[in-house]
Amino acid sequence: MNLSPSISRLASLPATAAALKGLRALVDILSSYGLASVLFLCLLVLTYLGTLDQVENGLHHAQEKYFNSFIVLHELGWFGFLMPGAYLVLLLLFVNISLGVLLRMRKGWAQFGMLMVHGGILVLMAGSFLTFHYSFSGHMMLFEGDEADHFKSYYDWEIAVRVVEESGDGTETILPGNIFMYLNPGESKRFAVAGLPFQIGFNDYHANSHLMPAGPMFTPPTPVVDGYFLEPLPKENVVERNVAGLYARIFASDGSEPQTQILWGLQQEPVKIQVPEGSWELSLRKQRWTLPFSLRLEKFNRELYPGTNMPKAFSSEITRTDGDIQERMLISMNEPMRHKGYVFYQSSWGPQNAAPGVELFSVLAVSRNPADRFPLYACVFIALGMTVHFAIKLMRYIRRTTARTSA
Amino acid sequence: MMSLATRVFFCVCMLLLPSTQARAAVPESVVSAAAAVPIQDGGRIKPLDTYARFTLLSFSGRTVLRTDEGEGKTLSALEWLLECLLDTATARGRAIFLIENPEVMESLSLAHDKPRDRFSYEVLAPSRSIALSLARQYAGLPEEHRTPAQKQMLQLAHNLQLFESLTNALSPFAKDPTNSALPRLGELLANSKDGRIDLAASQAAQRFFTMDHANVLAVIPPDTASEKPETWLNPAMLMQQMLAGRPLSPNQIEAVHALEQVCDAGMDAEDLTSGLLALRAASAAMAPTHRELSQVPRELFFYRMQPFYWSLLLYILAFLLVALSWIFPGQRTLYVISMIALAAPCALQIFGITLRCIIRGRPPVSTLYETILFVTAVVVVVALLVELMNRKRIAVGIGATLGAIGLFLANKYEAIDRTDTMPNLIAVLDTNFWLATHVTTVTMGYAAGLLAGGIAHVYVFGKAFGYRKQDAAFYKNITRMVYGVFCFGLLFATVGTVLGGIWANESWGRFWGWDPKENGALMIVLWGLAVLHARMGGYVRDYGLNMAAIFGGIIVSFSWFGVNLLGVGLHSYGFTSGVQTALTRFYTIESIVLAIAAFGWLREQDIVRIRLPEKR
Repeated sequence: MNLSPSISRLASLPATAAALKGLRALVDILSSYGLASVLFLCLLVLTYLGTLDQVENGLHHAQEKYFNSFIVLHELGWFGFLMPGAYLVLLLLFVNISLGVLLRMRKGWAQFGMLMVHGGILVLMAGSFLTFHYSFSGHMMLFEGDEADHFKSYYDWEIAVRVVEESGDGTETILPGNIFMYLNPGESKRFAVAGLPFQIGFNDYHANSHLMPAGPMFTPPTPVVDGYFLEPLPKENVVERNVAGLYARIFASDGSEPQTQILWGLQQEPVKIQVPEGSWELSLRKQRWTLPFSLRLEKFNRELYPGTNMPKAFSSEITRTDGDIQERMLISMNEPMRHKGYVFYQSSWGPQNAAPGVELFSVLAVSRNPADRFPLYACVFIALGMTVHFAIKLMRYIRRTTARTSA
Repeated sequence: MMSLATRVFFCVCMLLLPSTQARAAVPESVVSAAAAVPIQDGGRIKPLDTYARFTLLSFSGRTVLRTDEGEGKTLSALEWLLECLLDTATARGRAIFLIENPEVMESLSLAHDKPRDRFSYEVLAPSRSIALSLARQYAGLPEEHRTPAQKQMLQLAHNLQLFESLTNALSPFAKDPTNSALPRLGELLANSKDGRIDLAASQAAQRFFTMDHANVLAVIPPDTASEKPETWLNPAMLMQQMLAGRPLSPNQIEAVHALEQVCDAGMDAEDLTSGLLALRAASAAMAPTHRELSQVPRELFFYRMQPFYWSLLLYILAFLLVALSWIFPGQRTLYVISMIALAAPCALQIFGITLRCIIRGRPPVSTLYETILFVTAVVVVVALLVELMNRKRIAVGIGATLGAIGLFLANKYEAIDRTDTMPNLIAVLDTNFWLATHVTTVTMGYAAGLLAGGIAHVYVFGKAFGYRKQDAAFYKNITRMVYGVFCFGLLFATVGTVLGGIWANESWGRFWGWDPKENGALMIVLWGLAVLHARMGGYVRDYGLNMAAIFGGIIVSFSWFGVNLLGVGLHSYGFTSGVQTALTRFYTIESIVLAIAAFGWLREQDIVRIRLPEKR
């Protein structure tokens, strides 16, 4: 069947023609230099505001408000103005660059360098998108001799529910942080979790809190459980310093009165609960990710500049056990270890200002990022592309200047 | 006119020279013997001359000491240090403690008629305990909450204690002032068979227990064959080693003898020289293969030569010659001479930077101070290249101006920071590969951004004051230069920023962390991209591009210094308080320039509108 006559008939209809014209105008705007300039300026302003915001409210706040958002409400004295967030700007920029390269850029060798640069920028942006949505990172703290097969988040929390068995082992059920951390003050939620013989409810979540004994001299702002209550604290600028806390209510299957417990991020021991089906332990802890292999810290090396307390270099000698294969390797500053998609960096150590002889621990930053190498590829593209482009321009400029001078 | 220029140049030299000419209070033989004595300080080995220079700078904000013995009489830092060590009574009377805050003077009950003044130890001694107790109190406050006066008090207390330590440093090697017949450390060591003395058993050695051991002047190397940097001994550590019953090596005993000889000599030139030479020989014998030790003569040469000081003077001369070549545009020889006059200080500056690289064994830029030197050199090199291509005598003039300003600022920064400009680096920075790639490229981006802004000033002021009004080609040419340098800057800023991200990905596990310094570099890139796309879209033309280049200069300065003043992030390595004033002035001046440019542009639009009917 020949469709062309029907399409041209369709296009000749006034409504379709108007729609096509509108689409064309939209594509023109989306691929325009003007939009590119405006988007770059928006990013510039967002970067500036986000940089200043860090001083007052910390990095995490600035990141969430200006860089990870669609819309930003920026307060300026008594006024506030709305502007697009970096996430939206970058999405538009991706469209703008893609369309610009496809529709506007002149094709030819003279533009080859610029094509590479734009390709590199697109790779970089695609990498940022993948990193933002699909990467996760945390840390691992090891004393010499310690072995671990998991790492912890810097600031996300989770609740581990473990059945207590006589052998001491017990399967763990993990309740992710996003089921309780968005609870509004006064709001409570109740969940039935597969594999648990009881239901569990949460209320009064505080991103930063302190566990306090209740005294006779004042009325605690939150419920008192076994003589203790959670004192809400203002959020820290350095988000890693927040210690979360919340109230958990256990609804046993026999319909008995629910048990209320306080879960707090720095509790030394898990909270024990008793239901007709047995004993269980609950703990609020930093989110954990299990590795498909384990690391054991054999030796932590810290070298100081002579006669000072200033570290010159630090590194961790580790043994990696993956199945039956054991390998000894070194992780040091600027020399990470990559294995099975995970990257381990020598991040820091502690305790800081430790007296001589005090046992030190090593902190390894761990990340899993599907776009780990994207920036490197993008950088090569951009650098080569820019060099080619400016070399062509420079040659043309010199040729023109020489011609003019000799004329 | 040539003679006028020469006269101006010599006048400028005469104004600047006295600050570097030191009175020879100590014979040259002593100075040269003392200057090259190696000392470990801040984790590295340096000449005693460098140690003296930065110690005096941290006390008084100057590297020479103006004495009150007569008009223009000065002491070099090394002479002052020798005086502290050997003639403490005189040293205590020198006004070296700079206090720049009247609040501090008032809290120490110091009589003052100026808001910024220098005081001697003798004057400060009665208030010493108040200063120390206040400093202890302020030390407990978080650094970001300390007021300027509190910071000043902390520094003053530190300096007072350091001065006391210096004046006490050689006391273990001096004769017992109460009983000069008592055997000295060297004699006790000479009588011991294994370099060990039993201080508890020896009555003569009892005084070493009660002595105030100074924790400065680490001039005695550990006598090991190791090439690994190890801690050198200062008098306090030497005492601790002996108290712990650990023996001294024969070379270390030699060093003790040498220090005793220095103490005995006092200010006697011949004995002092021979004692200092003996100390140097003992050091060399103990650490013959040490890389840093082998760089001591080179560092001494660097500071003696003062390449950046001479470059600064020569940049001023180059500017005067360029100005003359503007006045006499037909004089080709003058033009060539002015080009050479600009190339010479640039070469000298690059030589100085290279010397620093060799001394420290690392790439040219690793501290904020070094960025100023490097950026200035790149600005001048790019200006010379642009001039070679363009030959309009504009880039060369801007190059000379920015060269002089850059080195003047470097000098100022050193005086504000008051610390060794070749320090050791924190662990994450101690990587030559990334310092050589990321840091140099991004600073080249800074340099080009500033040069583009500098050249754009010629356009703006030319237009504003109606210079060569009808010469459209002149302004077209400037715009072309600005555009070229702007793009060059964008290339390096972009590559440098992405390389920085890759470095961060290698060492911290994330490509981008929105750290202020990263953001600053990104802002330069974003501004460049916005301007280039706006130009391609026809939204920005010549006037706009020149104004954009000037604004680019403001962004570069924010990225370079401004973000360090915010006091957050992983890159706030440099101590830059005091830079705020200079930066605010720069922002203000450039904003005024932009306002002039905007006014000029509006006027130009009016002219076009007025003239249009006339043309019809």
